[in-house]
Amino acid sequence: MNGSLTISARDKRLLYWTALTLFLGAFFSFFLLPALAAHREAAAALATAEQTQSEMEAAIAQADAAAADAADARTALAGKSPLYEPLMDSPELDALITGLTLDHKLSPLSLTITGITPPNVTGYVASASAGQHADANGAACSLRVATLDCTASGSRDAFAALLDDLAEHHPAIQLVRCEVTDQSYLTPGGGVATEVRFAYTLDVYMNDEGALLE
Amino acid sequence: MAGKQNNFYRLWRRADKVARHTVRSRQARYVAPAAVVILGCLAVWAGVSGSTADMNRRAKAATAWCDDPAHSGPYQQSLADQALAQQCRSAADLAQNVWALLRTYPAVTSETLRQVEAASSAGIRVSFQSYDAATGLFAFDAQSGGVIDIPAYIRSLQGIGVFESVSYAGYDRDDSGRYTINLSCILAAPKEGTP
Repeated sequence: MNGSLTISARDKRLLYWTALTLFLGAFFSFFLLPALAAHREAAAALATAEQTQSEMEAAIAQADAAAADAADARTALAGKSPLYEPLMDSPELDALITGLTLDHKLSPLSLTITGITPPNVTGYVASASAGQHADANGAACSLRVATLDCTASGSRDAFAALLDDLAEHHPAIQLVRCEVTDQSYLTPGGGVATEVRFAYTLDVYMNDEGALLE
Repeated sequence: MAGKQNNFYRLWRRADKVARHTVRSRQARYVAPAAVVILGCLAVWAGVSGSTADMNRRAKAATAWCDDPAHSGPYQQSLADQALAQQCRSAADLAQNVWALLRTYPAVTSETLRQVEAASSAGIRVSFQSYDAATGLFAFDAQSGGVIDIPAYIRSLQGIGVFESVSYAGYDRDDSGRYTINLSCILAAPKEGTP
């Protein structure tokens, strides 16, 4: 038996082209495809970096304008502040409302301060703005509203003067509701005295522009 | 007679040259395509890798530029200014909108009470009882000595411009002989331009 192997020229050519094809396959699989993947990643990283850089360049170029714009906006916001009361805590609210009550010769009987919260205002029911709504939901808001339930006694004229004072000098203090009751009681001398009691609720609208700058 | 001279060495050289050329040609037919393919592959791989390296270098340079405090500082400041401007503008708009809505509410003042009292004739006494801004309901006691005065008073109330609506639901006579008028009045909103 002859153990030698004879390869014909045709087999050699076939072997040659097979080897070349295998080489190409291996090249694509192990070299070119990973290189292309790395190329794509590099392209994406470059695009992201260049995008970030161009955004930063644009922002830096706008820095002076942005600073001026911020100053203008702060001025515009500060321009709204005189409309509102400054931000007050509970003792200051007490001092303001009780002081106004006493100034108009009413006797304060009770005061309850509830929640200093962002406003939630709807247009007056009998106005063209009825149903329109403005609240701070999701928006930057420097406004706060404190609700004060008060009772006081005194004359009707004194209470009317208090309402005038609020309307004229404190337009950001809104009368939410009020109720007037006449109470009669016996005096030690046997006579009948009448006292007028006022139960009223005030909403104090305050602007705290400093809260936005913190 | 001239004898034919055979230069076997020259013949051998010529035959050898032809044979070598034939072998080289045969080898070249195999080697050349393989060399072209391998070199082509290497060229493509080198091109892709070189381009990748260049992009990585540029990305690194751009990232370094972004991370440079000389650039990131002004950038952050600019962003902060833009955000602050947006916040302040939004807050100012909200403050303006809230104020505009608050201005739609009527102010209950002594002038309001005076107008209600002025609408009545001498025989009708008026005393303010309550007000609710949410409904606009302005309640007051009106007591008339004479039942005949009541319709005129209602018409007068409707005409003074203080109320959006005046609902009259009748009257009751009490033990003292006076008539208590059942009224339900909604205050009118301030007119445009009213401070």
